[in-house]
Amino acid sequence: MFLILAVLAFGGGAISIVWLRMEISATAKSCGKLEDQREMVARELQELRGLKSRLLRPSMIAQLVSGRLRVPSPDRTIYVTNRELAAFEESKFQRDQISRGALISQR
Amino acid sequence: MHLQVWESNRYGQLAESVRKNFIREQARRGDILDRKGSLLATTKSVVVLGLDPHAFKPEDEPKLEELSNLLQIKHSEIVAAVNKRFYRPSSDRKDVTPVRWVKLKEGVDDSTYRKIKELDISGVYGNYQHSRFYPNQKLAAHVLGYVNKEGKPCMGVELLADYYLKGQDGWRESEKDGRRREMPQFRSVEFIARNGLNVELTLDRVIQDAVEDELENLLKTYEPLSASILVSNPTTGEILAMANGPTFDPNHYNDYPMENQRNRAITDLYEPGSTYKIVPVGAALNENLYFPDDIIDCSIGSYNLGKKSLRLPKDHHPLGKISLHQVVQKSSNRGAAQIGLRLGAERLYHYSKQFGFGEETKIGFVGERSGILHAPNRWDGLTITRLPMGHAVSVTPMQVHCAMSVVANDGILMKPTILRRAFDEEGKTIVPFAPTAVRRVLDESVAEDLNEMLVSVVGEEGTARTAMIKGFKIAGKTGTTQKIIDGKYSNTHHVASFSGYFPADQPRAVITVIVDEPKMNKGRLGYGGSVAGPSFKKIANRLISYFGIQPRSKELSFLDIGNQ
Repeated sequence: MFLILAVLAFGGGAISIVWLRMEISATAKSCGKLEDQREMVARELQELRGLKSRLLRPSMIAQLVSGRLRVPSPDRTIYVTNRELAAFEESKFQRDQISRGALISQR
Repeated sequence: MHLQVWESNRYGQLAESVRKNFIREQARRGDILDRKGSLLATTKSVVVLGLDPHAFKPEDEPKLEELSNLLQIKHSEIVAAVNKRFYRPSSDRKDVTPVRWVKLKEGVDDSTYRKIKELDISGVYGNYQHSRFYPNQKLAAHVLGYVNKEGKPCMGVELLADYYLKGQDGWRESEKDGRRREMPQFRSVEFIARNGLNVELTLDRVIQDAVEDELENLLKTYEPLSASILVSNPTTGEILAMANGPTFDPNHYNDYPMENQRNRAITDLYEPGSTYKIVPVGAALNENLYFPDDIIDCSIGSYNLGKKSLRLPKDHHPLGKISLHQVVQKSSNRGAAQIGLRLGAERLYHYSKQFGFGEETKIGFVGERSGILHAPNRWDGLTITRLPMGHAVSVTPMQVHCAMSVVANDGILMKPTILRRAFDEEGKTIVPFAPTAVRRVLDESVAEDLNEMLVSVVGEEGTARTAMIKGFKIAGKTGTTQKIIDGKYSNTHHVASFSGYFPADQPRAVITVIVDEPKMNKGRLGYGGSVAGPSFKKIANRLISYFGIQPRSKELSFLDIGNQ
């Protein structure tokens, strides 16, 4: 009985070791494949980063909108302060009120 | 018994050497980015594709046509590679060596390589290789430099920051199977490669692009021998743009002549001419020898120094008695010469050195020159009157730029910097590069006075009317230098320059434009004001929009426009 148990234990152990080694090999193989895939994705990413940088070069973008859009020169740029904007809104409101009043009186 | 016991060591070693796999992992070189994070240089993997003539199978021959299309090489070249099966080391030897690898093409990109692999041609395979890639092509070529085919950095930031960029290669030991494939389960030792740090520059791609656009325009219009433009922040010394023409594409550096690869802004010397006048005037004010309103007689043609009578240089137009302020505004050579005489050789030399002339700016790029500024004991009798007007001295565009930055930065000379920080893959700063002040050159009040003089240069009465921008206070100085041809100052060969900054009351950028021998229409001279001044203006206009700098005075209120 003891002998049978010993043989079983030994045999089972041996089979387990083989099974374990096979599992390790399979896992290592898939790890290797994943590493290769990661490397490939990293390479693609690098390629895309380069492409993105090239396409976003200011003169490249300017070429795309050439004749339609351009950076305004300083003499075509107007800076508005909060105070000016508030005053403008107020005067616009007053103008609207006047024109509305004129419209009601016409009716 | 013989194999297992007597010869066990030998066969054991042999088996190990066959099984053992040593793989070198190449560290990835770090990226170079501008101050806003735009990619300027990166590393990409490319394939060196080749063919083993002995492994090639004749049934794959029809696929060679497709291969030649993908590689964009002639079909006959591939056929020649297939037939190159043996190699005779020398003509007098009879023995031959089998050829196991014939290179077909270098730099094959990954997607093409994948398509080639799908063709499944036996014997055709490639090896991955890291290659440097500059996605913006010629942009900032002289600043970035390049890495050659051997992987050695050759110039620019690639060489300057190589220590941070290169990283450290790794390696691992494992076993390989019968088809020479790695068996990852038998990896024993692994030393992971440490990729290089990324380097962020002080450069701004938008500004660099604007500058290169203008430089191209200059080269087309005036067809000069060369031109350089520099833009920097005067308070920190950070270079925002640096461009030279003619230029090159670092991706294909071999296709351009060597002279195109020279960073002329730091390697080429020229006589600065009138831009140098800020040195004697600044020195005279700093030494309290003159005040801005002091009168200088520019009608006198000679000056008695002891027993010697020195001939003073001529002005373009007779200026008569003018103030020191006007000497700068009108760029009077005679006035500058008299200031030099009053300063004396030692002080003039001392201040020239203080402004950074005669020594490298130490920006860090290889090939930088210190220029030529002789000590007073080597001066001839005329040097004291010619140095103040920028003759008898050779400088680099960068030195002139730094000297102008002194005035813009309240009298302090800053070290020009191009590196901002080195950071890792997570974006964490590993090495910061802080701005460095070199020395105080002028008192703050003197810098203010000089600033006002330079503002008047870019005014209705000054020599740089072409650089004026409505609503903005611009300061600067023009320079028109006659080149020495056959030992004489030439009347036809000039270097036109302009160095200035804006807004003058709170400078955001210093711009220097140098144009070497602009070709002008007949009868016209390539003055700094007419050639370099307009370029300065165009770049300044773009910077004003980019920085969002508001005009000094609003001539038309937003409310008025709304009411119109």
